[in-house]
Amino acid sequence: MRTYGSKLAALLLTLLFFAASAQAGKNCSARTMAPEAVRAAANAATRLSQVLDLALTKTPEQNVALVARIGQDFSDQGLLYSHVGVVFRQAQGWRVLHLLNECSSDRGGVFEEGLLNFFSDDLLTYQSKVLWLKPELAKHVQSALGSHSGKKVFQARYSVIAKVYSSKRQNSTAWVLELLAAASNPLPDSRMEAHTVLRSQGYQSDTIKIPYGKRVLGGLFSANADFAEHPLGDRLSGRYQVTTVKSIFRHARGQRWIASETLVEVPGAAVQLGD
Amino acid sequence: MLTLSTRRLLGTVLLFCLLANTSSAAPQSDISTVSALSEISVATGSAVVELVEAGAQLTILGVFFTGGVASVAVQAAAEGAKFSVAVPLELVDYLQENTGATVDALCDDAGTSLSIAGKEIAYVPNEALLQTNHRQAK
Repeated sequence: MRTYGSKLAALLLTLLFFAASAQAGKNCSARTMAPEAVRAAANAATRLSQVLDLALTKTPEQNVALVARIGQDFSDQGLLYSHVGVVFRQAQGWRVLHLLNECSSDRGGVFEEGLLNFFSDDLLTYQSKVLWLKPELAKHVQSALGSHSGKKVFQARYSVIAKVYSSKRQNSTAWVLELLAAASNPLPDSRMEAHTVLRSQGYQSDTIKIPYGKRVLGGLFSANADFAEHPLGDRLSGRYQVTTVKSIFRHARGQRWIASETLVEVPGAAVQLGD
Repeated sequence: MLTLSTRRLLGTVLLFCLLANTSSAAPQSDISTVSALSEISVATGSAVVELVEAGAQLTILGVFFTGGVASVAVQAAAEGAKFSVAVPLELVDYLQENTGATVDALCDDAGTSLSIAGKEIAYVPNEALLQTNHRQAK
């Protein structure tokens, strides 16, 4: 028993070190999730897993999808989903690969997570949306992820408000968009090349409106929000060009990259439509 | 191939990480603290489900802290089994006041809810979720 306990202690400690929270723009405060949050995350993960399993059974060639969640209320910006990752099947189960901000710092990292962790992030609501990639693109995305986990289109400097086509900073949505661009064309081997592809495809970013007063009074001067890279005119007008989940979905549909879409609802909650 | 005990241990560790959600600055002294609690295993989804399905009567043994993380220890009276689940600090006073209270357990598709007189004190995700869950920097 003592041996088991010691091993358990060592494992716990080892994994607690790795469990340092890397979340989508959240602080890394030491806290245990409330039971209702764990239950909501577990139920959302179970439902998503069931939806993914069913789709894979019906169309095995569609095995890579985009999955979006609702972490923050951006309804005043006309946005529903705040974060997106790439979900794919491995022998051990479904995995989400996504870029996360490390503890509200100016650093980001690409993480592979199980579905339970994907929803264990203090979400606003637990509805999610799945966009299955067409097999041809899915194959290229898998290839890109398998060879270098999308690192060629990854930038470690993070800004939640990263300017569209920024070469110096990146956020979660920009990484996914650039990964798709790289997979959609055999040439891109860097972020700059992915940007060129996106421009040629006519990608349109969205405008996020943050008035100057709100930016100052709202305490939006933080390590993970760099407004300075945006043009002066945009900063003065409070209108920032950024890559949103909505713009990714719009572009993906326009490029005919999407085979099918599934809304994963929360039982008992009103369905929220749109992106 | 993982043995059952290894898989349970893995599930245990994953659950602990999920619920603990602590910062990376865990002090080295935690090793001895956790070892001292080795007779109380951290809850796994399957272990809790087995106890619930067996009709075990669960009671609160108490609350303890490990590296700043609060956990509630639960005992299955007849079976003699004990397990613990990490709980938010907001629940500590309530749980201490309710030491010895009966815990109701309710299983659903995703896991097991533990409650005292209708107040949910913990939720243990099922084994399938825990075993497919992980976080790895790429």
